[in-house]
Amino acid sequence: MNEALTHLFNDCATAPGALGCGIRLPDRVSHVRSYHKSCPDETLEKTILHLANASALLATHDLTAQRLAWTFAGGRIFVAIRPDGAIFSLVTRTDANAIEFFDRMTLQFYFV
Amino acid sequence: MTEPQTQSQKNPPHVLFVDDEPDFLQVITETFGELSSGRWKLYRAGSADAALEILKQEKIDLAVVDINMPLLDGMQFLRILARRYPNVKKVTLTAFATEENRNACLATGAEMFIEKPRTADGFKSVFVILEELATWAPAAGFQGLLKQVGLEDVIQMECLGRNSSILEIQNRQMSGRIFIEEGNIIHAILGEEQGQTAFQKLLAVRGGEFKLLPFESPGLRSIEGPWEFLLMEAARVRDELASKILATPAATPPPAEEQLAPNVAVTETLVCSAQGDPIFQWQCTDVLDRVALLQNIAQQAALLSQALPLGKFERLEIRQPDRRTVALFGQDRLVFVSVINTAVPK
Repeated sequence: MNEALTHLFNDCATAPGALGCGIRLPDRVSHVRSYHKSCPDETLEKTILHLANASALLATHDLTAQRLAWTFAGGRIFVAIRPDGAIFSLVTRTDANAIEFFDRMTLQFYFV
Repeated sequence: MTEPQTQSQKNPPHVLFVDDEPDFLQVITETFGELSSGRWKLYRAGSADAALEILKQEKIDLAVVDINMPLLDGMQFLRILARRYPNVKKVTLTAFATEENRNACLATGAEMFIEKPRTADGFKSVFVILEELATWAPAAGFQGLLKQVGLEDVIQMECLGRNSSILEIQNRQMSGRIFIEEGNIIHAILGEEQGQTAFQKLLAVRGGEFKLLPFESPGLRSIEGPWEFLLMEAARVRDELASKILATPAATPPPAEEQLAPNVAVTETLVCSAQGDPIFQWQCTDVLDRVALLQNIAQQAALLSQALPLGKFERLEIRQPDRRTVALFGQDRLVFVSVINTAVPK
């Protein structure tokens, strides 16, 4: 894991309501970091894979997204997608307002 | 004394099995026929084209599809099913259960991905799962925020669809109900007020929540007349009210989130039932593609919520450089709205 990614994961730990985060690089290698026992690493690995599939699926409907926000009753998944296909996601509780924080983290994601 | 009837006894599920192995088809239909004590109406198809013929003629509730078939394989067949028969629930049954196959099947609209059973217990387990799915119906009701979907739009949709429902509207100050029976607005109640006055006041509400509830007769009919006229009249009264408020110097400005951004325009709207039947659309270039998209999103969300303990899926926001799209998933309505920011150069 490179230094920029370590910084990004360390910073994401301070996101409001952070449960976990992950990144999937263009070479399909994933790195994840859990911040809460409800989101263990293996779950985050699966999540990032599903998010990659979902982003590809949206693109087939002419919706090539830069950002996605999946809202559930008990949590939100923020996703940023780089032009090279790399994906960054942050899982938070629903009651925490982490969107601005995620926007700031997305800038760091571009340097990973 | 007679036992109360279950959902599957009242409406026996029509289940179609599609598999190119005749022996397996025979075993599974015989076994499931026995396990359902003859309640299930079973159909067999040895190929995708034979299945499509059956689907043209019969109302199928559940299609159980083998993904490894020659010519038109299960994946392609699932895509056709999702587009042509969005109400049919879909399950893939395969001898080759891999993570890739699972993801691909679920992405093409299958509700479940199940490994082919090999033992008697396996058949029983699969039967229980399929019966649950075949007889499952979405819970009644739908809710949303007034700023997300206009109240007039919802009433219009209910009236155009000749539906019967109760629209419950509430915010911090008040709570009221509008009764729609077979596409006609028949009654409204707001505190002590009833009839057209209550209806007009409810339509003038800014901000708040609404719920679409199953219809129950209000016991009286306080509103008469075509719904188009009633909506127009309510809009006129609301505009009059707004101009009076604007003319008052001490009027409090509305919260920022209720004001329209100057460079934002709605480009596309689609509302459909949870089963994917379009109810209302505006400027959708390909309604079927959008319905398939909503169903695919719901499927992906189901996968995400299986992996993470996040509860019920509510919505997906998609941000592109010049537009924002929101897909809302209510209990019995799916809403797709796309908004363009005209200030962003193309």
